[in-house]
Amino acid sequence: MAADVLDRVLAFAAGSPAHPAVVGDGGVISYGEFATRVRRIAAAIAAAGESPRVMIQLPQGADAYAAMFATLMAGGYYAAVNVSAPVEVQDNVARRFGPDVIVTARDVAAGQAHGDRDVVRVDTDALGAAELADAVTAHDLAYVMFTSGSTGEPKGVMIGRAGLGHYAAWATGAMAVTPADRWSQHPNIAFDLSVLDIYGALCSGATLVPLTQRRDRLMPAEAIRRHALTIWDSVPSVVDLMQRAGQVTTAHLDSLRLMTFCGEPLLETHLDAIFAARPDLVVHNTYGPTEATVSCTLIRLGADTYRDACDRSVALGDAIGDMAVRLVGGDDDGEGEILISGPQVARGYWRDPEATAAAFGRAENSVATYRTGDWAARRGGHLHFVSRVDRQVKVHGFRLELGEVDAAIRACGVATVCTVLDGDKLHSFLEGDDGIDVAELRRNLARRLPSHAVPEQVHVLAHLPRNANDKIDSRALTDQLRAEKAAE
Amino acid sequence: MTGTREAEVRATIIDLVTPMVERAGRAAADLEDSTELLQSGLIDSFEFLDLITEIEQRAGVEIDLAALDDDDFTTIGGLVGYVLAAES
Repeated sequence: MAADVLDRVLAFAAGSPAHPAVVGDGGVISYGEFATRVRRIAAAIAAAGESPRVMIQLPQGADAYAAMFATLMAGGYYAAVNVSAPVEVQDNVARRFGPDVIVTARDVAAGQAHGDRDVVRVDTDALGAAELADAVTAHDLAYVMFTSGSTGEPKGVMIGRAGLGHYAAWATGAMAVTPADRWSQHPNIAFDLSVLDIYGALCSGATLVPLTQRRDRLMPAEAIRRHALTIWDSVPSVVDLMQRAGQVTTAHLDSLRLMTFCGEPLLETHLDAIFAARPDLVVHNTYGPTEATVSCTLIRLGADTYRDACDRSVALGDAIGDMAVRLVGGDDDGEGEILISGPQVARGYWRDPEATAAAFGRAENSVATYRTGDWAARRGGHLHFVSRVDRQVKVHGFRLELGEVDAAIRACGVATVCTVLDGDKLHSFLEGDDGIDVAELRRNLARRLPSHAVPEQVHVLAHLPRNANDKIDSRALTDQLRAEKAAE
Repeated sequence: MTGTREAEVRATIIDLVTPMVERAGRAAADLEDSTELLQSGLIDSFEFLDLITEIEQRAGVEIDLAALDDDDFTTIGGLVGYVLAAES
């Protein structure tokens, strides 16, 4: 079994206390200072009792990371919230998680009282000198990651401590992380991509650099140059931000040795720009749902080879470490829904046995499995994402991906579109105004799509409904159609 | 005349920001010139980028992100000032 993440960070701190752990707005925190923060916060958390359930309500930075390790040291598990999210969103997570302890800071806590009297509040600005000397026996869980589903209600994904250890061990090995690395920390701690940065860097003695300044969030490549970062990790669309600012250049990316992406499709255009600026760079594309601990596949890309891995988007790669990926429910082995198994699979959804039973299971060898809802296909030896299973329908006996209809409409110049199936009729909803010529659009689509894929009706709305994740809410559109039909 | 154009630009920007702000669960009526859009959790950097692109299209100006060094360019007032300066 892989070494525990807490043991790894404390062991490095003991051997190299002066090495920089976190470089942030507040200056440099060394590994020695970081370990002291961990032990002090752990002492405060452990005082709250056994197996403490800890909510971390702090901005990205050394104290938030220390609170994570401190929770594990105190034998507990945590949920981290985004302090920039609306107060209602943070309160909703607090209500569902029901923490014993909230770790926060003075300026964060202002105006965000939860009214829970028996919750212990640990203020990182007013910690006592007491330190927890020895780690309490580990809890089975490491953290619960709350993600908003399509209904807007957050689902808590329960990640085990052993699965986290497996992921961190794989990441630091596959990325060959050393104490000389300076690693970006871009995603908010409420998104599980941050888990890669935090545990990947701090378990291997690298220096973590949280991007918190407004300017760095908007123009991330400036931060790469200023901090001489060697590893960059983010969702691929951050490359769009860098391109928009004209900063995917040799000068901006000069210090990097590795860029790693996860969370949404990486596109060939992203790689064209990156490799034009830095032909010697290594790029990792990874795939995985929160339910399998950040990511469970990897493809390593270089300037000479990446085009072979590009289809509509870049290939997802092969399963990592002890994880396995299978395609199920397709007509043959070459396509199907991605089924993930292995040590990183979550323990289920927080207080939701029904949703847990629907998505999680056991393979014949009793290894935990998770059905992703992602349909994929093997093309040219590479695994490629095709669509969400719930966006795949049958129209007059033909299997059709609603995303393909949307893509054809986008190719006609409409940026925002969502197609839904109601009964046996396709309806496409377009965001726009009277300027859209629907008749012309339909003629255009008839040339691009087989006849069963051309939408029966095209609706133009000023704004399409969106869910809390800012994704278009297709269910709300279907509901609207049914309501209209009922009113007729 | 300048005052009218300023009001027009502000109205356009507020019009564009309103759906983003409402999705964040806030009331657009509370928006002021000094409202910091990017770090208040109202909109994220991707939405800010969309906003810049929309403003460019509607106002017919080009905004060079890398050249923005003013402290308040992520406020409504700062954006209004930037568009007016680019037009003059």
